Amino acid sequence: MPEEAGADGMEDSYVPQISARVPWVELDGQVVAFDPVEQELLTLNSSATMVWTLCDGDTTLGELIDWLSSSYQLPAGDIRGDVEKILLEWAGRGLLA
Amino acid sequence: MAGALLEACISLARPFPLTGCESVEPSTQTAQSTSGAPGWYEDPSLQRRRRGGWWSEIGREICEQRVTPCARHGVLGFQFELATDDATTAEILSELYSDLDRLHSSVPAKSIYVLKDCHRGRERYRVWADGSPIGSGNRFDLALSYVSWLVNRGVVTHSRDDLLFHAAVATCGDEGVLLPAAMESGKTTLVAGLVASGLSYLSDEVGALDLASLDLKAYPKPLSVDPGSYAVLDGLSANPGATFGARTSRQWQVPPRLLAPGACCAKRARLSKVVFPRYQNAAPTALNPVARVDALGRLVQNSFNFSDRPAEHLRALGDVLEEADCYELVSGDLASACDAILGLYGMSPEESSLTSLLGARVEAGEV
Repeated sequence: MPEEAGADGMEDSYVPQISARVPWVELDGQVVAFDPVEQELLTLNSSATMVWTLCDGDTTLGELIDWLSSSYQLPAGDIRGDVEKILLEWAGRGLLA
Repeated sequence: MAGALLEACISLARPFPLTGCESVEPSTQTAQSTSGAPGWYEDPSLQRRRRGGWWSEIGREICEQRVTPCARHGVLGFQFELATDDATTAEILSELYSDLDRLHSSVPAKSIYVLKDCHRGRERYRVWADGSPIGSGNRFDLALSYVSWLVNRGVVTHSRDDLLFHAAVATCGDEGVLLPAAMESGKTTLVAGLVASGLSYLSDEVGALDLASLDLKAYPKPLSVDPGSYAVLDGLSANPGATFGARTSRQWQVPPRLLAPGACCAKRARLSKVVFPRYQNAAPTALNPVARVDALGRLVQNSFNFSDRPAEHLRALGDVLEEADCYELVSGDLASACDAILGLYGMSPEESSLTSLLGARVEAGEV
């Protein structure tokens, strides 16, 4: 779990990154990843695929939310909760570096 | 978007168990079968021999003294030698596996022996692999099924350069169609129909994707045909039931070349179509597109060895599916199922020889 995360949520400066140990491909605009721990294949929908591809080790959480907000024409506040939740799930699965 | 991400992570089933080619493992009936009844069973004396190493060594010596090699083959990294002490069995084994590449005698190979005895006036067969007894019984078809299972298992456990699927494979020119499915889905019957219709045969059981070239490779094993498909197969081409299948009794092992001349002319093909077939009695034929990501998940579930090198295998699947069209086929009728697949290659039913081959039998109510 990122150190920046606190009781009130993750910091905007947090830079999520997909672990190099997780193989994944993008096919027709959707990410398919293999969870090496659970030995399961994960298929992401288009919005989760956007989050996944922005977990590149360069983009901050704040930038990621701004980008999604702009793409989906939704307030950043409506998006943050979903993004934090899925990042927590991925971190729990060991998918994040 | 709110809420959408909550459902974003879809967990698919674990990859196919990696224990081997379960679809072709003969049922090991039992020692509780009535003595003398037809059936395959584990001979209690063989079980004792298996437990004791020195018995196995004696068995190996006896085997090697009795048998004569009849064929040595290599396919998908697996090398094996078939040997028997019976002339008819030798002839059939040679014919069944003649479409696999032959090996020189100097190449080390796994040995698979079929020994024939006469016990209380009845024929009895024993199958050995590398000096160990595998099973025995008085049904020749199950002895052949056991040989088929041993070869399939060898291919699945020895292949290092290929991603393997539980699938049938045919090819139209250099464009291959992969037909992944669980057992009892009609893979063998469907690929037999496609071959009788003019496509080339690559396999009825194991689809092999070469990780270097991303081509499908041939594993032209004999087709293992279950009783439910006898009538259909019997209507195709060289009448395997009357000639070859009948000799192997309950499960036919049919050399693919009996279905059509030149059935095994292709050695590899580019993967252009993935069709997930499902036989459903009396169902109208329906061929529907499948999203590539869904196809990828289903292929992983049908893979024998995906988890061995998941990164490399996932990359290969992603690359190959970018260029492939994927479908699901539900059908209760072989001719229309074949026509649906042939249509993907621009072949009309009139160009297919299957409809005319089966036509008379359909009218007669035999198929």
